[in-house]
Amino acid sequence: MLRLNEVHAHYGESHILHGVSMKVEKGSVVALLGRNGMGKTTTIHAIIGFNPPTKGEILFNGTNINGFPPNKISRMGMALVPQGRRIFRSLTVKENLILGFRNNKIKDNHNLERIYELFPVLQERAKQLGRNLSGGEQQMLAIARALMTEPEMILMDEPFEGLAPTIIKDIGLKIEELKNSGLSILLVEQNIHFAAKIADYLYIMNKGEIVYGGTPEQFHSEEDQWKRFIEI
Amino acid sequence: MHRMLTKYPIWGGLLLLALFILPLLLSPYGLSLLTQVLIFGLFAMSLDLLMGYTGLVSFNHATYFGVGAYTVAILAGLGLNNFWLSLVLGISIPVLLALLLGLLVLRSSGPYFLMITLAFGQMIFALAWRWRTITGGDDGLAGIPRPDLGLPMSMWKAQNFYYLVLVFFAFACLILWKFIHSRLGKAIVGVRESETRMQALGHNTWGLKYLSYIVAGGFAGLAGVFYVYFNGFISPQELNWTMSGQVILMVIIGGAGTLFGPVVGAGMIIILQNLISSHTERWPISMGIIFILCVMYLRDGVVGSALKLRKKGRGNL
Repeated sequence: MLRLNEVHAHYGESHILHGVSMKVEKGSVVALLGRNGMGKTTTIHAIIGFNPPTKGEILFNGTNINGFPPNKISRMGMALVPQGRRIFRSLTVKENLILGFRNNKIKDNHNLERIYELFPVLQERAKQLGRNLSGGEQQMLAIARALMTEPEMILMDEPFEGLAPTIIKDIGLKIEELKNSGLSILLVEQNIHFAAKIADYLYIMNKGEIVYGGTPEQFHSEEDQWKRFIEI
Repeated sequence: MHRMLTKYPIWGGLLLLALFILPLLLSPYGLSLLTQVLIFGLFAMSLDLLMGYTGLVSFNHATYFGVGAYTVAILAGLGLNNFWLSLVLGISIPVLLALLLGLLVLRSSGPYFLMITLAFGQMIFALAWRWRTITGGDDGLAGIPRPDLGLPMSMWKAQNFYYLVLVFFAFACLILWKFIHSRLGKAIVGVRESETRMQALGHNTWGLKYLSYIVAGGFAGLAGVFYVYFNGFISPQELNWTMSGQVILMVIIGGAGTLFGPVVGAGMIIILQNLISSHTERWPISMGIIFILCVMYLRDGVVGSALKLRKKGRGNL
């Protein structure tokens, strides 16, 4: 579904990604792990088109999307849950959700009902402003808003960052539900244990390069190969 | 309108009633001020769509106001006094200009957008200044008659003209209210909050900003049409950056992103300007102090701060 071939990316003069290659199969969850500042978010931004790669290929369903604008990539079926629960704070929960909806042929209520089934708390808070939600609710809203675009694949940038352990568990269950529904997910995460539990494949990134890749089973048995890239 | 009246039934009703009754109570001077408040209120609301809702501080909004006014004045000079023709052209020519200029100015954002709009605004101002055969140059165009709607009432009578402006003002309020509460309007607010987030949701953010710029230009043109009918005169000064600056102040003082706040801002500026200038020649100093106080203590503008206080009060209940 998604394949990165030798992707290089820069921020101005700084060379951040040094030939990243990875893939996400249809219906699978792939976790991208690594310490802060190793290029995980840059990888996500390169994929969604915020910071297009300077070299290399990003194939989404066989199309090289390198250089496509973000709105075009989104319309091809890719959604983003940005880092830091970036919701629209001055809009209500329902308005936030409706902004994600763009298929005018189907009534937006159909999509909303599905979303409210998955996140009942959002229905209760439908008329509240985004800024008045708790951190966990904001994260649910960010995920729900991305789902409103009816994506084939979703990029999640550290969805558990700064959340209380009980909320992490709740949101973790929702991500598992999404995985079971057949959605492809690329999950950027620092919580190794959760990522290893949910992902079908894990990559570890260090200084803008993929330094390890393996299934959860391999990941557990090959700790010596990746631990030094994760430990501080 | 229904949603507007169900959301603010008492306030909306009282305001409409007040605006309807006031001309019967006011002196001719007061009525003239109130008419100006409505015209500039409409102008400021159109800018609020750009500044408050889209997050674009434009320094050439007076261009559309002035072009709308000049269109009516030039038509009148040609002997074409048909109100509906003047109205349609007075809106569509600013819209066409916004279609063209929008393509150029929306290539930039932030302070660069402000600077490029200022540059284009001054170019149009200079054009009006120099193109004497069409615009009358710095003498402007005078003697523009009040519109003739073919009705038994004369628009030369101040009250009748006020009611005509009020009808169009209310209609414009309704359209702008509907627009900002539509999905498109929410998408425009989304662009103001984060353009990249909106792109990631599949929105063409440039297109949304372009649309907002054109709609705002059209309503500024409408305000210009009534301004020239009211004033009977138009000069390049109405296209100058000082006019754009003045309407920006109206939006800031009333409250950006509140739609009706800028009308309050327009009212405050016009009434205070007239009031203070009748007592002292140094009225700009007093106005300056009032602006500074507003910026220091009412950062969300008069209406924005009042809405915040109301929300706070509700939260404390």
